[in-house]
Amino acid sequence: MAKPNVFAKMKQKGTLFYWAIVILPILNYLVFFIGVNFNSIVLAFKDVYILKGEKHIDWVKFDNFKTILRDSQVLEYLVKNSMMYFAVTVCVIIPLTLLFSYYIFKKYFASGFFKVMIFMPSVICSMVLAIFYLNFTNEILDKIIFKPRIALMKKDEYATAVMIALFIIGGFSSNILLFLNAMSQMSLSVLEAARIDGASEIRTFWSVVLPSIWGTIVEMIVIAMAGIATQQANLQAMFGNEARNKMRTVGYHIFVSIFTDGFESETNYPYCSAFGLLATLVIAPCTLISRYLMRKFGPSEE
Amino acid sequence: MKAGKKVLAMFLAATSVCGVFGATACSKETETFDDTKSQLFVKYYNGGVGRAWIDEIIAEFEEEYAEVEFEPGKKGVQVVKDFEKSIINVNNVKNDINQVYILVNTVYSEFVANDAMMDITDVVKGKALTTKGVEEDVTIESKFSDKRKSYYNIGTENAAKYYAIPFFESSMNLNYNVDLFEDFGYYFAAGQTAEGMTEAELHDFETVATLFVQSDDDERSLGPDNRTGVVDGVNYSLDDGLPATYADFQALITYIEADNIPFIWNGTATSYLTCFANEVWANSVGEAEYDMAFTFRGTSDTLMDLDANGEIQYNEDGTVKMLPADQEITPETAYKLHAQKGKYDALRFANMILSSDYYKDSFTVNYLDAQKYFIKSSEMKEFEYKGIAMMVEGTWWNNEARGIGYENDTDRKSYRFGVMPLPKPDASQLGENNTKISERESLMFINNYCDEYAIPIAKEFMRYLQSDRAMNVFSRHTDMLRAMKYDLTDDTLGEMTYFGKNVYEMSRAATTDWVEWMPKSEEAQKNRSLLDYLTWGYNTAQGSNPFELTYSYGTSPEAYFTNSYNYIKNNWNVKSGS
Repeated sequence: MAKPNVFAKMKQKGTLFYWAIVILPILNYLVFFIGVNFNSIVLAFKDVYILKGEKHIDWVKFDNFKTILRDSQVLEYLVKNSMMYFAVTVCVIIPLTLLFSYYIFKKYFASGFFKVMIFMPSVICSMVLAIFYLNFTNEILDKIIFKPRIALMKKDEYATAVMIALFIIGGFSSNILLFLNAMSQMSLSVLEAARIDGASEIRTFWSVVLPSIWGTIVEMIVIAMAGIATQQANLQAMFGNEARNKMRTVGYHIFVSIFTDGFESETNYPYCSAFGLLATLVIAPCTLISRYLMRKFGPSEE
Repeated sequence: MKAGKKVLAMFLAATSVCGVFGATACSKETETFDDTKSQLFVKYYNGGVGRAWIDEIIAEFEEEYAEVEFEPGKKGVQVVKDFEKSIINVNNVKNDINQVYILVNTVYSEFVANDAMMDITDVVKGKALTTKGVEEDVTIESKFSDKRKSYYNIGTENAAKYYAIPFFESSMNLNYNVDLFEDFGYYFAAGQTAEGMTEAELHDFETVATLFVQSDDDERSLGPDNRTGVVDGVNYSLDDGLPATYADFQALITYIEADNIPFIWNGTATSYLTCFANEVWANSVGEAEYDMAFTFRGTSDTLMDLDANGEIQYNEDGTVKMLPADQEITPETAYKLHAQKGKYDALRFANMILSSDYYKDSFTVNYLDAQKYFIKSSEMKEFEYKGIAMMVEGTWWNNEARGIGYENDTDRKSYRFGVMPLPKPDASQLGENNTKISERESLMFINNYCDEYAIPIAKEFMRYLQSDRAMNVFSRHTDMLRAMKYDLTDDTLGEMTYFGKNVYEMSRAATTDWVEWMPKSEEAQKNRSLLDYLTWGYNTAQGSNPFELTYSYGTSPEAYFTNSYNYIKNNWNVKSGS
């Protein structure tokens, strides 16, 4: 008697539907997470070079890491800038977004209008926004306000401020939906109770709203922290591959380091892999610890 | 109200769907394939060089091969064009539909190593086709310069292996407005030089004005080549009247600034400035010295004697202290090439350009606007009808400016621009050749995974592109040269602009040496990433663009030099030879 095939067996057990659903995510995870990351980790310890039209791959132990650490001055700029954008996210973007979300949630004056206007930047392609902004800085700020022209984007002291402003404008909108959604999950009876007890808006926001959506806030901070090493802060859109080192973030630096003579070169992959791995080794534990601490010591709904 | 919302929602949904289809639509220009013909898919980087030349060649190719059968049951060739301003990642070539590629910024060795390019040794060793079935007398290989032959030949001299053919020749130039120079007499008069003048004198209009010609009839100075006229068949007149030394150049700027704007460059592709600084460096040290960067070996005669902190030391007379000649350079010590005096000279030159308000609107305008202003500023109110004397741009700019800077072809031919041979640091170097860098790696090749049926067509097309006739078509349309040995015919020259003819004369001049930006030794090939033309020359912890960094931080040439030298020395991590 012929053995029943795998599909027949699964059908018999009633697991065919289950496997049909999960097989794609599992494959996706194996290929695009396990496979890709494993390859990246291995690549960090290799050297790739081309000689006489042939590709050579050597094991070089920790040489790529040494190269990164040797360039300490550049590393300092990269870390400093990445941390600066993280700080802007946590200290400026998230608090401002929270306040605006609350304003819209409470349906105050023109909240619908603000909702559309604030959300607008995330509907527009980031590249379009950056080009518009670049023209704005070159034509309006530079030409009309700063006379004579001083080429704002070529002077670090101005360029950094311009980039931070763009970062805030671009990052402001996407969080609003998440906070609004979290606020809409709150029990209206709690808010009503606070109102009856005579709590002021500030008090209600601080003691009722914040604890209720603390989980969402923590996740936003965790996402921002996990993205420290990948944050490009619109540098690619504003400067192409030619941003000065002093302006660069870790994410941008890794991205542009794959190019030689304007062309993506395989020989640069090991350096970039090592940089990514190094960043993960630092950021991953920090993210997990911060998440634990924020959840443990953050405000509670109780 | 509800109906209005529904309409709005439907409109937005339709817009999104159209947007998605629009974004994913086939980029090929020929939407319908002619089943009676064989198709040849060609990807061409449609940048500043433009497409007019290749459109013409393809039209001729299709016409000449209209009756040829490359596949059973099909007659003629239909070239399917993928002409965008984009290159292709080496890993995507295998699955790409295109069969012939004509690209820029494409690293030859990497494409060969990844089996992306087909072995076309038979094409290169063969002869180009003037028209269908008519071969030229010489092989395509013989049209390669010796340097390019050695770079493109991956095999040995006896068993050559070629995978690509060079495309165009270009450099980052200081272009000058010949009409403006003529109108305002910005040429040095015979026997005049600013050498020996003090800084104050060089910046004083009244003092420097005496150096220049006063009428069209005045004889002009000899220029950087220090000769004039035709001697032993070599024309030395190309640079007559142009600044011969940096002191002359400063005097010229002072003289121009009184009535016009000395410079413009663009602020979006500022890498052009780094490439230009590389060019100034090469012109200062000469071909042999600069070429050591691409071998990491040799003996240098132009190294400065730096102190332990990497700072420049000076002799009592104020000149920089030099090390004795014949300093050995090896891969382990090749960072010392960054102590070449030419690098310091280039930084001084950059500082000279940036040291005053000599550059109108540069650093903020895009490259197309910069070109337009360079051409038309003397006709524009916003520039107070002042002309712009010089522009930093690649050789392709005069073609790229069609439609924006130039209104039409007649307009284009009515202006005169030229490539300025760069001045020498001081009078002691007068007469040395003008050294230029060809730094964009542009080439053409056949996809290694090309369909069987298309291989003969692709090879025939490649041969067709290499004929002197086809290369003349290229030059006629672009005012540029293919990176091959060929001559322009009188007909071609008659169709070209003043700028195009000047580029041709300059390129072919006996007084011009070319440095190819190609790693030439094994050590240099292994360390190719060090030779990125944007970072090799002027890398520092802050960045690698000497113009931009000088502008941003106000760094002096001396401080920049020391900073860059120390940075490169401390991070020098060369992979050893085989």
